[in-house]
Amino acid sequence: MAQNGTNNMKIAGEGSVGGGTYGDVTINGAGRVTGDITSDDFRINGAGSADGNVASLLIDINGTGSFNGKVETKEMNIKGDATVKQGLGVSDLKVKGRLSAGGIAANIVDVRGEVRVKANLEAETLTGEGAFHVDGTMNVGTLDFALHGLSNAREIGGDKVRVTLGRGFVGASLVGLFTDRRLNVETVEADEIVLENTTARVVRGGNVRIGSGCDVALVEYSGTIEVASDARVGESRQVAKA
Amino acid sequence: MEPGMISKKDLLQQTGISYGQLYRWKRKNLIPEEWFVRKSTFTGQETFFPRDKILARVERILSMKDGDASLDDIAEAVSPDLGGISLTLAEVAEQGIASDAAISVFRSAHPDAAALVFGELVSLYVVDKLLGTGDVSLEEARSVLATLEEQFGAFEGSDGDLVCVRKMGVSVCGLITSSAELRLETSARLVARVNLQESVEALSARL
Repeated sequence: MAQNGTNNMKIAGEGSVGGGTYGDVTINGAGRVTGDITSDDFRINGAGSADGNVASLLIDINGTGSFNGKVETKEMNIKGDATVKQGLGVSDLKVKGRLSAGGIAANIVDVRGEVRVKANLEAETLTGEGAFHVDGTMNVGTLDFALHGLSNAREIGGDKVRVTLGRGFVGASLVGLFTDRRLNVETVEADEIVLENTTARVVRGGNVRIGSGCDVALVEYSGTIEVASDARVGESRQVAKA
Repeated sequence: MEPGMISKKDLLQQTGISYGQLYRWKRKNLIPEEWFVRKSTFTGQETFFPRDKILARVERILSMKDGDASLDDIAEAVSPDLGGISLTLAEVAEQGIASDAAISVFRSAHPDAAALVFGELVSLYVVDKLLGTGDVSLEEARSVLATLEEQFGAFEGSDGDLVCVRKMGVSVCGLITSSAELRLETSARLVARVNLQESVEALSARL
């Protein structure tokens, strides 16, 4: 899929290069890119960092990746740990390990591990298990997440929101066995909502299921509601169907 | 509640749209981020919208959807990507985007300009609008044009207003975010306040 030329660049061992337009960029070992970079593939095996903005068709990180600028890519695979200081725009994002970003706008996201976002996270679909920390709004068409750690968001909104208690040990080994598997959120608003182990101030939606371990101050629903016997709901009221 | 604002809940009930639709439109940038205003209420933080703007926008999206337009088409219509557009001054006059008076203001600032890119077109369009209403003089129009050209970029992707203030015959113009409230000393007068996003939309409808 070479689109940006065949000028490949490889760092083996340790080194740094300036920005520019490349075909494939590969860092094996420890490497640093000091300027803005445009590439087809950007691969890090080991530890890599980019000081400027990165635009690449593919970004593949095995180990540690750190980006000080904006990152735009079609596909991003993280196995290990990645930090994007500013915004991350990505079509297909897979995280195994940890990702922290200023903001994320994505199409499809799959998380096995942990995601931290300083501002907002937007995605058409977000699936995964582990934990998430979103300081702003999580605007996700379909959210399906199994909690293996303490998670939080200011606001979650979308079509379908499903947050359940993680079972098994896959994510647990990544996030930590002994943390509280709970979501703390101010507001959840979606057409279809299923929650477990969630503490929320307000849950608003069409069909709502407040599952086991939930503590919700106010539920407003226009369709149906189900509340588990061990869930706590302060007040629940049906509102006129939109 | 503040006049001119509508809560998210009331918006949904009034328009019949669902949370899923509202969030989807937000993701598609059909509704600008600045319109989501968070305010404290007795039930905690709630989201409000500028009533007239959001109702007009929802109606427009729904009517376009009825015409089978895709969300991407609608996004294109409400916040068009016109970065690549370029018109000559003759075309600007022909298509009636700006009057001769506005064009001559632009010409005096850029004697050699042959083609105008989108940002310049917007600036010219705003200048024309102000001149057309008689709110500003030709001299002021020049400074409006210069201000827009210098500062327009700073408001890219967010919503800004051009404001023009006059005091004792001296005028000053500048850009502020559109949700900002402006208070002036009593001897100064707000001559004009033009929303840039609306101008972009009005302009793109003509192109």
